[in-house]
Amino acid sequence: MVILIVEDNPIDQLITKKLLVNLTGITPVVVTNGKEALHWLQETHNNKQKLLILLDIKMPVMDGFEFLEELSELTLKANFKPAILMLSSSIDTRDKEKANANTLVLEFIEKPLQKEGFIEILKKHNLY
Amino acid sequence: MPPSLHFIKRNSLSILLVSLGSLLVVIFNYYTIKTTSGVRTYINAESTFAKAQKNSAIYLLAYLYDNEESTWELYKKNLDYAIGTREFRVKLLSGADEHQLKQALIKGHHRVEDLDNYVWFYKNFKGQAFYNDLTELVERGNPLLTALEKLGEKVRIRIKNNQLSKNSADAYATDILEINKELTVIQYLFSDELSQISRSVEKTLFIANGLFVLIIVFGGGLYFIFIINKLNKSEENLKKSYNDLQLANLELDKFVYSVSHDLRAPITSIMGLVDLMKHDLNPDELPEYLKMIEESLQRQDDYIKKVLSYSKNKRLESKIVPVNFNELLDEILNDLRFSKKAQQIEFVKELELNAFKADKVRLRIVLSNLIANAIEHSDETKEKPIVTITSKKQKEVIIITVKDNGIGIKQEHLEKVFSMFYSGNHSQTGVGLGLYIVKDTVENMKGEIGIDSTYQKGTTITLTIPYYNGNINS
Repeated sequence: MVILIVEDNPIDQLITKKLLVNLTGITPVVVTNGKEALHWLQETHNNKQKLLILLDIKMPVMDGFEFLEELSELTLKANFKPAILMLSSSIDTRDKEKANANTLVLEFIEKPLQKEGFIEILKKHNLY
Repeated sequence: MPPSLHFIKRNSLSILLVSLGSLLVVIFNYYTIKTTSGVRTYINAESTFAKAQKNSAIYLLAYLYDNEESTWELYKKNLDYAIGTREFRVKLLSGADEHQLKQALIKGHHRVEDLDNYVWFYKNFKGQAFYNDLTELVERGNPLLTALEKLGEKVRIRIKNNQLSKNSADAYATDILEINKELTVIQYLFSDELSQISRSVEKTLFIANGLFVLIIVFGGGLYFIFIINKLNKSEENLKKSYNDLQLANLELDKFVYSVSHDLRAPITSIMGLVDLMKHDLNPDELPEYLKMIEESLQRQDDYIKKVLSYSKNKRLESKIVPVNFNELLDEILNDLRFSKKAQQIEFVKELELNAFKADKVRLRIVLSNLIANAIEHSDETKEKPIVTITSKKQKEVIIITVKDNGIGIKQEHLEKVFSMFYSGNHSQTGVGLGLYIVKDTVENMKGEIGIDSTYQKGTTITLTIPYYNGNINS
């Protein structure tokens, strides 16, 4: 499995990365916005590999929701289906509803990302 | 001008028309009633006068043959009525006083109450063609009445002295009948004249009333149109206010969303870090974690300050005061000078315009933010980081630029830099509120802001604010 972290805040990048390394043993790829994530998907990622994306919402250049729109076109064309966990400091229910309405999103996780809660979520989706 | 006054002014024409129309109707109707009453009085008088003349002729004729005292009395009485009327006319024309006029009216067997009508009609229509016609007819009748009177006197003396033969009675009778015939002709002419006046009054009344009603309807119509226009305007204003309110709500919604997110973000970062430290703490990493916590807190502190200054700026009253631009810049640079980055930068001032009037408080907020940004985004890899501030007057505006040779902004970020809570780079301490505040403040100053930037080369911000002449205080 390949893991991609799409996050602009360096502290949150570090936290997510450390937790994932500790829990899954996989070293994630880190990009800082949706555009970079798309670029990575098109240029570097092998579509046959199972992919987990940890996606922040509020980012410069291209935010999480804009990325999801672009991604749905990409998945249709390339016929691959990544699993997505959305992460945000937002406590606005509209963001949560919008995230849950997207079929690619497994779960909307309210930050802070903490070890115990994260393990449960990974287990729930057979990722741990 | 307040809207209500403006409204009154716009409506004054229609209100004037309605008032004028009403006033004309009232005045005209007053004259019509007075004229009609006058004509009626004259017709009545004429009828009484004609009867008296006729009767006196008839009784004189009867007296010629019956020689009865009572017939003579009847003749005298009727003759007095006719003479009284004649006297009244003469006195009216010669401008006699009210008492004399009343005496004459009583003598002529007319109603004293009608005196006002006679006088009014006479005063208002003397000199008019029809009045002259009437007077002419009366004057034509006067000698006939005198002739009748003289004839009566002669008959009376003859009868008293028993000197009236059958033949001379017949001769007198012929004279009396002749006078009576002429009087009858005059009376018909007089009646015709009066009824003609009556008809023309009626016609004028009809036309004039129609015209005045048209004026009133037109005025009322205009008033109605103004009211409809005013209502339409109010509706438009209401719609605009509603739209503005919706925009404001949207803005507020965005504000609350961003503030809640951005205030929470540093907290969630720290909570995440603390959780990480709790479970897998590598002592070597502790200083790095602490630094990160410190940065997060710093970021939140900055953010709170910026939100506050944004809120304060919104409510700040605009005060246009004289500005010494050079001094203002020195004050700002003194405040910013202490950071490590600032100490490496050379600040250059190229001030073509130094003394002007402006909203100094807001200008300081804007320039502080812009210069702080320039310092923050300076490029340490450059041989000499420079920030250049220029000022000049162009037509009726002041143009101020803040130019740096810093890290610059990528084209894709440029269009978003002024939007609320956007930050191109989280690794910096900026949290995206700065340029939004700057833009908002510049707009409060009735100015404009523009940005030009090349990635890795530098950024130029251009401010355009109004140039104030004379003594302006607000």
